[in-house]
Amino acid sequence: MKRHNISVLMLMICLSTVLTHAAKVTTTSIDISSFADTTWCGAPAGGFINCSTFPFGEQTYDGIPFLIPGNAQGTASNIWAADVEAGGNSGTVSVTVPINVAKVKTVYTLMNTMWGTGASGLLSVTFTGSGGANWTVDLTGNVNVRDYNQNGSTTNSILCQLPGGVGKTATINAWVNGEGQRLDEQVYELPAAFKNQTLVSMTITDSGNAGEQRSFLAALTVSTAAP
Amino acid sequence: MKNRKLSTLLLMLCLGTGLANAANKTINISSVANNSWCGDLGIYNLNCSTFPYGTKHYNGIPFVIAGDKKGTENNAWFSDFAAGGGSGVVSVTIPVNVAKVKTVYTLMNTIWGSTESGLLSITFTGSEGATWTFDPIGGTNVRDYNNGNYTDTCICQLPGGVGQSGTINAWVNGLGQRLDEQIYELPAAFATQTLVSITITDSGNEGVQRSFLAAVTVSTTGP
Repeated sequence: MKRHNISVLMLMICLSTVLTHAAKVTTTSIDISSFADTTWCGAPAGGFINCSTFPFGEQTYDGIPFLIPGNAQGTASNIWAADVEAGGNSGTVSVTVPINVAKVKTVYTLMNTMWGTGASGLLSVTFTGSGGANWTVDLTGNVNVRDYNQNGSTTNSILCQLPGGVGKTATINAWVNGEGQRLDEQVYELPAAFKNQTLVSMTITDSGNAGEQRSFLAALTVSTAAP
Repeated sequence: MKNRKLSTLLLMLCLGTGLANAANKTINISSVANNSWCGDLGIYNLNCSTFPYGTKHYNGIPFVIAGDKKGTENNAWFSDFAAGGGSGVVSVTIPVNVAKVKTVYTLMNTIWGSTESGLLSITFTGSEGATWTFDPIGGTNVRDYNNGNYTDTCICQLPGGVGQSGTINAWVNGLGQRLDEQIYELPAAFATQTLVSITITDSGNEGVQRSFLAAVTVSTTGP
């Protein structure tokens, strides 16, 4: 009788573990349209190069779903652009995107820069949890972010890896148009402290300048699974 | 008594399902490895002592790279060494024998490098007739292990779905050398078969492009 009870108990634990694992399709695309401040073909400087080729709506890159704001007419804003936020001038600008998803392990962003430099201290992303967890990542050109436009004079490389563990970040490519423009995907594996909290928000802080480096955010997706 | 047997049976099934979820399996390629990182052709030895061996994790995937601390054991299969340093087609077949494989990860780069097609292919063979041949192209799917004058770019993406491949970086030594990770999401036909083997066929030449394979890992889950 005692053995039988132990078997039943172990069976319940095992089933619970397997079912938890099975119920894991957990990506959530965050709608950033309320923060989007320009279109692909809008400011600054009359739009991105080959702007009409840029994606919008639901897209899947590297197996991850993303929601890029915008519409077919090109009248709805597509991205949050730091350069637009700063009015084309220097100075620090930021945006805080509410997330409010529990037990997030991984955050995916579609982010590139206009212009680009390998200098540090120009761009950071901060993740804030409901129970006090906080993680700030400084993004460096040619490592974590790069110019959306391939050219020889700014930033053209990224790490091209996935994160190696919790509290790490890496960047791979998401989209290219075959004409020299691209969108890259940053993958953030949150520190363990976020595991039992709700990811409240993500804040981007940009201290660049026109002609130097200015970031833009096109989409944000979170997942309760590891990368 | 009957209930007890039923519980035990269900427990075994449950544990089996749980273990099946632990889906990465490293493949030991030491039996086909034909040279070491610091081997005797003198062309592989750019900072060769910094190259990895043993069990490593890259991009969250475990790999086993053949070799030992003393450098006396072979580390990888080098097509250039298999060809005796000349031209000609060489190949290697690696037994896998793992059921229901969805994803194959390789650590592969080239010595030299070319964007020409037709120099390199990889064929996956299933137990019930499934077969998939993919042609890795220099500058997209594979690149020179040494940053410099040959192929220095890769697609830097994960596969977009079944029957597709992507490549990202696995390892760099900070001195200009690297190992890249190819990710193959097998066609659906493999989902119900055993992946019997992987064959690499290299038709390059010295000064053009020659591939080398450092590790293979298979997984029954998607990338």
